Amino acid sequence: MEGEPQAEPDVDSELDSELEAARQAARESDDESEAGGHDADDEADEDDEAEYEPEYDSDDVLHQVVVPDVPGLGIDLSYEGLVGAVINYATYPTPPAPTLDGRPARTYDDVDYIRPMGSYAVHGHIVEREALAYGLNTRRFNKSTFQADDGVRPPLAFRTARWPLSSVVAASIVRHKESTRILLDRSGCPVPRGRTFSNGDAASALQYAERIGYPVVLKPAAGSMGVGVTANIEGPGELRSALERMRQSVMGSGDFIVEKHIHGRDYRIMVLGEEVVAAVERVPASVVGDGTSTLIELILAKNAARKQNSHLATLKLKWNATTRHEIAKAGYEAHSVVPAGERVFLNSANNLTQGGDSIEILDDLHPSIKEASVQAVKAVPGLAYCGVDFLLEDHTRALDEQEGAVCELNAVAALPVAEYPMFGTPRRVSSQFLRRAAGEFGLEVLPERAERISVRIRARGRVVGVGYRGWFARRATEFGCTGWIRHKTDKSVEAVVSGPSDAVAALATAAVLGPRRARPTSVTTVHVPDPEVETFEVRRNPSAQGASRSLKKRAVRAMRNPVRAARVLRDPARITAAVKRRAVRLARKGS
Amino acid sequence: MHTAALQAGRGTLLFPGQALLLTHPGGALDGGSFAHGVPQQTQLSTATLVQDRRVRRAMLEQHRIRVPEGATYSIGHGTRAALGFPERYGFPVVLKPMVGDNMIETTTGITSTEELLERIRDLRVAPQLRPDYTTASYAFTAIHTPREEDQTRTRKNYRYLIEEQVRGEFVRFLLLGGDVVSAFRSPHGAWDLSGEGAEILDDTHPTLIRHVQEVAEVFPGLAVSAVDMVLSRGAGVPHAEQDVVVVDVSERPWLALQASQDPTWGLELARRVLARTVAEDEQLDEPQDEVALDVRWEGVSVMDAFLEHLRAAASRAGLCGRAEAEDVVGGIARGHLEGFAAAVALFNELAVAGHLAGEHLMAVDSRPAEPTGAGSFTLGVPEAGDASPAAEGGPST
Repeated sequence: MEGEPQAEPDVDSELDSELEAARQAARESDDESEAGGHDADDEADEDDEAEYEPEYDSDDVLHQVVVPDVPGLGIDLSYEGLVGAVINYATYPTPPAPTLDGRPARTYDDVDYIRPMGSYAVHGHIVEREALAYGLNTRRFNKSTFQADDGVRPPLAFRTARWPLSSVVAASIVRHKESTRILLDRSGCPVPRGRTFSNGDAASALQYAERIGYPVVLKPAAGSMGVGVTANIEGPGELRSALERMRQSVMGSGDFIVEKHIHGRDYRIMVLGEEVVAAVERVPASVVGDGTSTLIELILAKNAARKQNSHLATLKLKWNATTRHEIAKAGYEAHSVVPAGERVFLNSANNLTQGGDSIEILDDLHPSIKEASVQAVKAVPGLAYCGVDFLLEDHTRALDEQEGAVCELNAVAALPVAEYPMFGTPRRVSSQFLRRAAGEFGLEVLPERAERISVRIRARGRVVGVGYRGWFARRATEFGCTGWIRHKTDKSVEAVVSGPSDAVAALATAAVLGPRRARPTSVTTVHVPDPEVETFEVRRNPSAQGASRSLKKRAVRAMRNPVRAARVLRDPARITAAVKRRAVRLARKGS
Repeated sequence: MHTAALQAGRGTLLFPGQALLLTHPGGALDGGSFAHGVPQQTQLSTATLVQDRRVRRAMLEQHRIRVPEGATYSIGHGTRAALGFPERYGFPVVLKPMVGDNMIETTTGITSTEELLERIRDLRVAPQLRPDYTTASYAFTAIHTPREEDQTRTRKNYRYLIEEQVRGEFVRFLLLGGDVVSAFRSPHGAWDLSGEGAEILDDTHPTLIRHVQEVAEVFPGLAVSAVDMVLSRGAGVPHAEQDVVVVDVSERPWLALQASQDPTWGLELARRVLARTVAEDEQLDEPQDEVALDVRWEGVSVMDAFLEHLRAAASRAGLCGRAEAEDVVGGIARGHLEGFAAAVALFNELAVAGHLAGEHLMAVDSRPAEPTGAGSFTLGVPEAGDASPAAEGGPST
């Protein structure tokens, strides 16, 4: 408009906009930084169960619809594409559960509490669950790490299966296969004869294999989860070929192990102190035919059944190159109908992460095997909890009547393996684990496990303005808990929750995860009296509201003056920068 | 620690990962053991917890203990936000992996956005492929290998921590069973092995000592701990009158720092740790500088080459004795070593680490023996009947 003078560039406005940009950058920084419970545990643990990085197989194609050239509706469903998806969706009608010797696969009541946490969180959750049920308070920092205390003595730290009774030295030794073998051998435990060779020393390896006798196993010294392993090598020719294959693989630059091949089934025997508390046979992924279902339908049915298992729910049978290779060896393809009673293996590895089955067999385990397991654990100083991996022909027979050997010790053996077996008797190892640690350090616990508890949960970190309260309240209501949740003036969130122990403990663990935009840094859970309310509600905090209004006014006032704004932001670096910029502009103007 | 054990007349059984088990005569394990100098009394759960820097910071902050301003970011999506950190707190900054051994892979003194970006890019190489990567043998081990075999990139969920670099006097406090036994001023920070540092425990203000103990109490279960602090006005000034920032806490003693300035003091600290580690009813022998040991080396791959390396290394280290093949196919050599305990300990540590003879040994079993008065190191004749070509040729004597 004519006559209206063009405004001089307003220095303060410019500075304000720069500050706003800086604030925006800071906000973006906030969005990414100080990640809470989500992050640290996405890393995978060294446990043999491979502490999982859940992800879809590249072969999983969700909802793929194939249009064949046939009459009718003209569409057909790709069952293969559903193998991965079936874990995430309801299956109707519910397929028949797989059976073992006529017994159906076990299902677990707490699966709905645990499954939303993700596959890895169950490892860190179940010990906290027991701590809360036995009257201890907890402080959690991410989904694997928490401390438990009785309010009197120093807290005990737990990180999945790492506990205060195991020593760093024991963990260090059992991490190394050869160190373990040497110590076990010194103490008279049955171990496969074997040794480690330097990279490329094929001549010595061949000599050694001749000495211990074939068949032998070749494996990389630094490997895990069966990667690079060649088993059942029958002679020097096969060993040479296997060595050459290893040399050309990514494992080719490392040391390798040659050891006697033990024919037997794979058992995980769990020892606490001097007591065997669980024993699980691990069977490679497989399905059993019913005479009418196709192989792919059997896989879908089994994955639907695993969904009801708190540990195996996300560890599904996979449809990938390995599976196709294995079923092809057995003469099948995806749509072959498997005869009734015939078992088809889908993988050669026993890992539960690869869809393997777990069968708890402690009641049938021969005493001599229990004794040898305890002896193996005692061979390593400071190993108070351990998973002893035994290869056995038959777990019901005496050790000296069969070929059997300890192939590995695991100082951080996954507790849920025994707690949530697919078949057999579930063992609450986490409960013994917690009570033994508490007893050893003199923490007071309840004489009996409480069925219902009431706690105050306090979450700190970025938990305000991210939908945290609503998210928590929905979950608490779904879990059948009562109580309330509100903001605190220090930007934390406080909830009082009452309900079944398993449900309340699951909320306490989940609280460190929060909704997508939340980044909790710690969650403190303390026992309180029952709030005696009928529902779960989101409460407003009047003082927090007032504080929020006050902050807003302060911010508006402050932004009129950049230096003051920077001071309000309590940022010395920005104060300096703002003052410098202002000085430069003033200098340009000749002031 | 190894040297202190040998000086105290103990036998040792050494494994990879610096796992050191002390033995009685005859080889029986007596319960004293270490991994990377960390005594067996240190709880596994607390040690791994301390190695998670985000958790450690959260714990210290909850106890109202000052830590540097800092934030964690993912290597996959956090770079833009990470570069914004210095906008808020200024340069210089420090970059560390979020989970890992304290003081290892820590980059200090980053003074520009370009440099920060460069260091973040360094972390995009998978840890195992980095030249300086190392981790404790008891550490929480994530799967850090690239997602595909032919890749070198770190997985996207890998996280790192950026902290403001606080200015002041760097002091490392060593705690043993809750007692502060050393306060070491290190002018150039955590890795200053120049010998320019100084032990200042006697000059440290009692309120600072108490503060260090408060820090250690946040992590119950560490038999030994090293607490790194930066003091704005120095160790002689009371805690209330200066800015005291905890920049690192480690479950390892890291005695190399003290030993770099005064090896005798470093060894004395090791002895104190050792005394707390062995059973209460056991007395350690008076330390002897020189020792004589019968030694068994296990896991030898190429026997003749190993023995030759052994002889050369022993000569360089001033050790006397002998070595010979016990079982070539089984990879076992045996021998006798005489010399300074420190030299013997280093000799065997290097042998297991693969720096002595070009191959990693799997175990070294050393047991006290009578001195033979040998004046040099010689190689013996392998046992008859050994089938290996090396054994048939026989190492020179």
